[in-house]
Amino acid sequence: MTKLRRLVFFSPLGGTQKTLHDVKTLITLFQDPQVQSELDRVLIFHDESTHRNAELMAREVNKLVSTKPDVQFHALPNMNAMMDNEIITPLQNDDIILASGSGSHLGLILHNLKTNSQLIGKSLLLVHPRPNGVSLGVYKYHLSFDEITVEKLDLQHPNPVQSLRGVLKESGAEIGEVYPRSDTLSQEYRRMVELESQQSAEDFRELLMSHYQISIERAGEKMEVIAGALLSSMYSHFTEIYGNILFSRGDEPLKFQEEDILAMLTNGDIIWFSSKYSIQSATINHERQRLLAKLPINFPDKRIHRVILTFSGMAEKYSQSEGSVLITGLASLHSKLDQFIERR
Amino acid sequence: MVQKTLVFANGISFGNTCQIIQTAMASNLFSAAKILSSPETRGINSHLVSTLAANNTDFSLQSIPLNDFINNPADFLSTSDELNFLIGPSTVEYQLETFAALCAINPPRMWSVFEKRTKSGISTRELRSFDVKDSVALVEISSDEIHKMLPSPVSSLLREHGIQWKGSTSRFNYHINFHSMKGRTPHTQRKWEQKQYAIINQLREHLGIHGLTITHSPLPNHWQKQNGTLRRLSARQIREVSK
Repeated sequence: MTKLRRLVFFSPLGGTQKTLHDVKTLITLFQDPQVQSELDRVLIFHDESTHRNAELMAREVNKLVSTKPDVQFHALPNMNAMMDNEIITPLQNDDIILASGSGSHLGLILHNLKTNSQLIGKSLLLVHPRPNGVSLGVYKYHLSFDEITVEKLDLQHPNPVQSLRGVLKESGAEIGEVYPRSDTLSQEYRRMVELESQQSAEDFRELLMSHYQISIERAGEKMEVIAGALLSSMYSHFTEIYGNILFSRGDEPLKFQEEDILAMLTNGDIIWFSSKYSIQSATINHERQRLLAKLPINFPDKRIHRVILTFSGMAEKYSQSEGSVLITGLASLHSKLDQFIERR
Repeated sequence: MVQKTLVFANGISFGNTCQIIQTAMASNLFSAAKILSSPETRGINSHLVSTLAANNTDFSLQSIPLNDFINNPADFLSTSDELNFLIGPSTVEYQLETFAALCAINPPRMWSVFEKRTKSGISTRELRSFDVKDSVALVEISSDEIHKMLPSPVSSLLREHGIQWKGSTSRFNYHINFHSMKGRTPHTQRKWEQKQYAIINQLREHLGIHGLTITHSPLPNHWQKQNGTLRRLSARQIREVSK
């Protein structure tokens, strides 16, 4: 007989997309042979500041689970008052708890495992979606009067790819361009990529200008168009590709950051592309330094790969092992993407 | 004799680790502390333990490689020990692994660094047990003390960049002053911005993201107009102050 279980998590203050993604992961986990059970109830912990997000989460959970589980809410004191009195949480046998909320919330759960007398003789599961996006740490706690036995399981992440659009939307970013899926690169652009890899940056830029009858400034823009088309033709590596992404700060009208391309790989990592079609080393160096900063999104930085797209002749001047920013021409982009997927 | 042992996996934030250990030593709540070191914190923890243990022979202080502890907690703890686990620093995974290892000896009493925040900032910081039976204010460490405890290369780095220690928050602060760039050419300004970035990254490597605050003087008009790099990239990470 399938076991009925309750999913438990803390409503987030920010980062609703991440929590929602983790909740989806746990819902998928309910079907795992090692966990196999049916989700019939959900318990969401919240405080005053996270109550609204708790309601949002409840609505989303109901959309995700066709059986419409019974969603319960449990109010906790706010963070300033959380340790004024001992808190006994209404955890139950067979609950599956998502490691969510703050460090203090996690501490509260672990404290309850030791002290909540209602839980003696019970078992609970705590799931930690690891930030590497590859696996889940699953801890099964068997509670007795004076002992806690912990069984550990390592499960493959069943749902590693987050929605990039969702991550960007939550960060207040505006997407300027959606790259379409394309199976092939046009004959003309393919030829351009090939020629570009065979010539110096200066010579190829001249060729581009004469072929398309454009200025130096337009030559850089044309290369960005070719780069975009090339990425579209490699869509099998990606789930989403967006261009001209504008970030703003809070409710300030000033757009403080614009990025050329952000793409979600099929393994759930993000590539942060910057196009720099300049023949000045100083421009590339400055851009490399700039990309060392964090993107203003709620996503593990270790899973964001930085790539500068430039002329192949310029890229050759930089060692691949130098720093954490990859500098590449278009011709070798495909093999570089494979590296990003395989390194996991 | 029953050892009252505080166990925690620490992060890179040097000041925070120092403050927790100093507090544990000064209180009568613990007789021992075990810091679980990751590859990133091993060096700094060894330095810290050798510095602090020399000043207090009544308190047992040890730095243990986290993986060794997780695999064989009985090598480092006795079943007669009263175990206290401080949650908060370090990663969620390390904390869950540490909790599991401690449960193999004795389920630990849980602790946290409890902060009360007001609109103007943090008002109190305490080491408090989740059963709320014990609480102790975190000791404030002076600038002189923290510099004595820092490894000399880090101390030199901080002196070189004029990094200030703020005892009340237990964090270091790096202040970026735009005034020095007044009247300089855009090329010089850009070089200077790049240098500031390199400094911030280097400091974060040594002090941890949570162990370092960054402030800057009001942005000159030309920086805002040019949508300068610091403004674009650090807007969410640094705070403007009026000096």
